[in-house]
Amino acid sequence: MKIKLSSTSFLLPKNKSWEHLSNLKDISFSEYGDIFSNMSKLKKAKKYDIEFFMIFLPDLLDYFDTKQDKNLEKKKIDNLILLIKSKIIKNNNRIVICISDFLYSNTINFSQAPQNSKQIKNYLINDLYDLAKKFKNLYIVDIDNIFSKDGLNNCFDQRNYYLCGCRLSIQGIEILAKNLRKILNRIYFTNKKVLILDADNTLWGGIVAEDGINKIQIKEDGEGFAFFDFQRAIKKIKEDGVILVIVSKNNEMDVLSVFKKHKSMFLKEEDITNFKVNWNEKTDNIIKLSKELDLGLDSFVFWDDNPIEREKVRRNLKNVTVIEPDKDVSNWTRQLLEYEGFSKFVVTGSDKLKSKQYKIRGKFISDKSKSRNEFDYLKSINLKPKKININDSNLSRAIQLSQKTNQFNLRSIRYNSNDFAKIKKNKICFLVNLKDIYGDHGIIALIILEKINKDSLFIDTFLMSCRVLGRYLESWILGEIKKIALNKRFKNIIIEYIPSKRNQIVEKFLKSSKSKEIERYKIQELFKKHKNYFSNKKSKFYILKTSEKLKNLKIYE
Amino acid sequence: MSKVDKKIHQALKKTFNKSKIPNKISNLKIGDIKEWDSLGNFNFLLEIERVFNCRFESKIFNEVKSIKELKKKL
Repeated sequence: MKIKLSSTSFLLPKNKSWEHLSNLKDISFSEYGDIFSNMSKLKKAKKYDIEFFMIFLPDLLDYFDTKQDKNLEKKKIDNLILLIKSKIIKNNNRIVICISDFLYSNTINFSQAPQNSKQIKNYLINDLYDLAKKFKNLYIVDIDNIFSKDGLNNCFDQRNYYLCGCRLSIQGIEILAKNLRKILNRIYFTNKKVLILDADNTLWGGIVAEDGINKIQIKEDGEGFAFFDFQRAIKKIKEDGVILVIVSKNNEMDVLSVFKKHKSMFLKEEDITNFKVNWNEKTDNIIKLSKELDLGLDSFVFWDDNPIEREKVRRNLKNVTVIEPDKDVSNWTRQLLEYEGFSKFVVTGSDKLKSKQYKIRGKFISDKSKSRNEFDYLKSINLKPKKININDSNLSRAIQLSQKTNQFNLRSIRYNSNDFAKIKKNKICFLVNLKDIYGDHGIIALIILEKINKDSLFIDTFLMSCRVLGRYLESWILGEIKKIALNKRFKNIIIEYIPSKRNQIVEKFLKSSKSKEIERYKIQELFKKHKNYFSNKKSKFYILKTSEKLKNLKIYE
Repeated sequence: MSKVDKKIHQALKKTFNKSKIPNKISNLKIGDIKEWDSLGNFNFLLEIERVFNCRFESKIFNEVKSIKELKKKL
């Protein structure tokens, strides 16, 4: 990964503290003070996957000027915003803008009149956030806010500034590098999806089976307040799309009775997607959950007060993230909210429904396994898929699906907002929404198609959320692709499958569909002009004749 | 090698990790190691501050250009 760092001040290139961001070989630093020409260099920017711009406002605005001209300052900031905007529009790579206005503070001077630098920073940051709503490849970091945790005076160093033009201390560089790394990680790695919680001494103080429901600690004041507040934090992350499950060695009735009857419980039974309350090993319960939710173990985060249980999970389920809760429950709320594993850049409407949707999935799987005839059962649940065009209101969801879907994803090619602007112009694309008797599953699939010659339509993207697997929806979608192909008089649908660690399910589907595998050299001969599509050595290719009759479509008739 | 020399050696190794650091360092000075230029010197002194848990005044950064000068300031 190639990273470029530019700043209004010197950033001490080659200093080892930057290794917290990436291997030093992968980071290039622009010339000192060359930030603006770097923003306007578009061709060179294409070499980098991600560009970081560190803007120290005191470098741009003269805070010591007693005749400060506010209009001039505003003009400078407006020009900066314009520059950033033009860069984002023209560039496809990710851009992270870090802003600092730290210079000096004075309690008396700024106790009645606002500090000018703060007003300017807010003006700039608000404008950039507006831009970020539209351009999903832009990220903004108020670095002073992050530095304040460790103390601004520890993160800035005037000596370094006077000696070599670097405003930051080594500690400051380290913190900046670590935080930029966090953004990088979230861009390239998906967030955790499930929080596994213990019950006794985790959601409430005490042991319900021994102390009784009335003596457990969970209240809005006193000792139980820490547990109550922890539950509020859990509910907050649940509303941002995290699935909550309880894995507890306990009598199920005891735990459920707390959820049903205890008046101070902030979390309710319906907030929990799955209860695994029994005397089985927690590791076994977690493996079961992973199958039931169809989510990999690396999506799970384990929170349990018992160090023995934590150690067992750590040893036996290496992909599960095990949190080491602070000894003092008072710190748990902060610890949970500061944990970045669950965080995402944007919480979409679909995220807010996630918990409910996974509950629905659990019910679907259980009902389906009980039914004698799969076809009759699927017919009975009144499946209603619908094609939807991509527009401003669902673009975030389209990007999210493209970036995060790992299992049912033919090529695992990731697209950002700029890519979608081009795709909408040049290719055929649509989303799929699904409803059935279990409820509205929301937008769960993304399809992008491209004409590659007069006879052939290429499936650029075919991905589907794993939440709706088991309904043969992929067959319905392939049927819709076939309809489009027939309408536009294509004879063949060309399918490329790029195997990844997680998408084997796609190959199963392709092999069971009417499409036929075709050898690489044949496809390369047929489509010489489109070498870029067919260059991946791992790829397997399939051809589906539009004259073929597809399987499993009767479920949807 | 004395404890102090060991720590300085460690800081040299960490700062100039592309270069081979000789065992005898007492006569080393700026320019003797390929990466030890003026920026390298600054990064090296910052690493020394970290290793020895100390802080140098501004003027020391201009004065110290060799291990001998450094040892006088520690």
